[in-house]
Amino acid sequence: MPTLTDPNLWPDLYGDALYRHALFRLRDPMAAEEMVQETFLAALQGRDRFAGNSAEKTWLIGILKHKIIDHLRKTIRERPHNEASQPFDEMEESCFDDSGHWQIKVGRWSNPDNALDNEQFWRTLNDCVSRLPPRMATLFILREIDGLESEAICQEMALSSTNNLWTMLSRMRLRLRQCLELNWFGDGAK
Amino acid sequence: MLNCKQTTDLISHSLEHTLTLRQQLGLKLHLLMCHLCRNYAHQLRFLHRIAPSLNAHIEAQHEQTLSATAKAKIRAKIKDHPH
Ligand SMILES: [Zn+2]
Repeated sequence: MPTLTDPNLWPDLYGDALYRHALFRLRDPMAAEEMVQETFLAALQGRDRFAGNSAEKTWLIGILKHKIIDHLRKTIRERPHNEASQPFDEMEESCFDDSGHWQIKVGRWSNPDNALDNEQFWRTLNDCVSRLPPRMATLFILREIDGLESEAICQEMALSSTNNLWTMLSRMRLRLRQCLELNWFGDGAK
Repeated sequence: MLNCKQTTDLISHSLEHTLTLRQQLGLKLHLLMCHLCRNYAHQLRFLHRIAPSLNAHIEAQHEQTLSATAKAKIRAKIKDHPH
């Protein structure tokens, strides 16, 4: 019978790691806290099923991942959305003129790979993800972080067609690029 | 002839699925003529390539922590839980 550490110690031992994982995916401190709490309580309930073939922390993270997916599904279904029904949103209107040509400067980024060694760059990118509309932030996580395929994302996000998904992805990437241009790569950023 | 807006969509779509020959041709032609969309294409591919490392970087920075209040609250819930 594998032994677990005293559950009273869990918040101190694993609370921060679980919280960071949840916060990265949900971008909502309150919800992230709630997920950590639910994870510990579910783990307590299912203690007998802990097989001991993974570390305690890995086991807890596994439970947390399921909690987060459930939470995302719930919020996606509760949040009203208009999918890709609007041909343009404000962001795109500011980028393109009436004939669909750029009306902003799309500057060249010199040696973007140099940024990868700079932790501040990753923080900036992370802030840009947080500034996306919530559905787009979720889309970023499912597609760019988890690498889910189109059909799976449509199902998770209750999107009716892959065309709508691709349109949303394009808008999400337009925003992210713009945010990085303004806050990192552009002339005015540094 | 594609405009820049349509081209940015195709650039993004090309990260998701194989474009039709017609789309590929349209994209190539536009990129030949438009250096702004060429920049955009490089930048989108860069973002798509590096994005999967973001969570590892952010979680390793150990910047966010569960507040002491939250920890205490959770500890109390665990205690109350019938083990
Ligand atoms: Zn163009």
